[in-house]
Amino acid sequence: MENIMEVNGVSKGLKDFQLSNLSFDFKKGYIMGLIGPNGAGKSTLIRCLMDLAKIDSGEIKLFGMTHQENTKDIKQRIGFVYDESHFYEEFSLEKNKRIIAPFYKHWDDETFYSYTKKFHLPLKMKLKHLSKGMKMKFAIAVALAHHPELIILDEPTAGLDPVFRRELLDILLEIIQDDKKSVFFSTHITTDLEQVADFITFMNNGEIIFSKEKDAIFEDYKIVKGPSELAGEIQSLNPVGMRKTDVSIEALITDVHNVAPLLPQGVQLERPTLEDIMYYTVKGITS
Amino acid sequence: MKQLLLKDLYTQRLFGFLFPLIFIMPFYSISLNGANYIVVYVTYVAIWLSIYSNFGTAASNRLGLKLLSSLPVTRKKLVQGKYCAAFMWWGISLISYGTIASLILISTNNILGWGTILSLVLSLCLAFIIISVFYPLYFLFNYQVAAGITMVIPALAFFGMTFSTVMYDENSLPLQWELFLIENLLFYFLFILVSMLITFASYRLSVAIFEKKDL
Repeated sequence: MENIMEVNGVSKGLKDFQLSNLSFDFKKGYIMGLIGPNGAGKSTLIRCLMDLAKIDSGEIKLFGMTHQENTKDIKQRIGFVYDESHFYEEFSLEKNKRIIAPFYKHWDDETFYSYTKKFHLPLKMKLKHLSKGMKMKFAIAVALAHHPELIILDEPTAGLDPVFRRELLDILLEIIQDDKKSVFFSTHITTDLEQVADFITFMNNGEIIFSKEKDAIFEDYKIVKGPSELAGEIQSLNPVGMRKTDVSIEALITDVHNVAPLLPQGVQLERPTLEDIMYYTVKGITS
Repeated sequence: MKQLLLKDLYTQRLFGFLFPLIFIMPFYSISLNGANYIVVYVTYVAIWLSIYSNFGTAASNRLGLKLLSSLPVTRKKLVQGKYCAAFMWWGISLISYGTIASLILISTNNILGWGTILSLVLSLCLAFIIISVFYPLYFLFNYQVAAGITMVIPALAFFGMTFSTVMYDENSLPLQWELFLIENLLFYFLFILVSMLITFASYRLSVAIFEKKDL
């Protein structure tokens, strides 16, 4: 399957933050989730993907092209949803649509109005009077109305109620039923990704920890639980992270096939959640 | 380009359109010394509309530029759109505010007309010189800094003209100045050429600034 996104050795320095040598790719027809704690660099990476922030080195290819080669064509094929409302707050949804729509060659009013109807969006109301959830719904309706091949969403589920979060995830799943379309979205609500994502890219401190198929991640990582007396033995196996209490120990190990046979007796192996993986990777060894 | 011009037209605030009407009478007063106040007023309104179409806080400006930059349009085109919009605002200013100003002249039995084609060309050139100061500052800093610096120029010019009306009413120095302008085609030519060079340099500078800017 063809790559829709290729990120090769991308670095970007900001005042007090650095994206360092990021590399991953993403295939057409899937959902990729970008996870990481706050400040990991997810939004900066998305800004680089959209050419809103200029990269210092490396290369980003979308649909096989760089922004330098053809940013206009790339953006025609992307539906972008921001982490906060970027539309004109003083104007109604209808007027915002009238400003945005002419920029897209394949803008489809019928699709736009079908989404606004589905999301119960009041077209005559000014954007500033809508709730965060409603603004996000409007952004999604705009992003989908020009039939993009790639939808990029920056923290779309943050601050949304569980009903709409679920509704949004269903929409994303619906989108990729068309195998020419792909969805790339960042979030720190990892449970959302466990439900819908095919691939996960995990960032921390401006670096990519991994970018893999979701099932492969759960095969690679395991949670080890046991009594606190085994802490020394488990620590000698270089876990990703470990948490010790007076009575018990919990650790995240990777490279399970090689490490599991070395584990002491009396420990339990469990499937971690993405949150566990994120937590232990960020925290390391704590007591 | 059409989309960018429409966007600027849609997003212009009502206050932006109404505010120049407040100054129509003060501008009329400078016609008393024989200066063509319609041309002066049209120039002022065109500058105002061009600059005010970018009005916003630093944060809202950043969001607006981020929104536009995520749309299928190059940053170069976005800058081009801003300079082309200056033409549009000048045209709107000429047709609408020029008409209002001329109606005031007619109602006061003033004999001055709309001015010659040449004076209108000079008005357009002058508007572009001022806009050329505004946009590089706007893309480098924000609206507040750029507008603060730029609007000082037409304001000083306005007070200068008002002052000259009071001071030189009797010996008609402005009239002599007008005569000088009428008789010096070379001056017109040089002014048009210089304004074109300034506008082109400003456009290139704005593109260079905006293409490197992180949003």
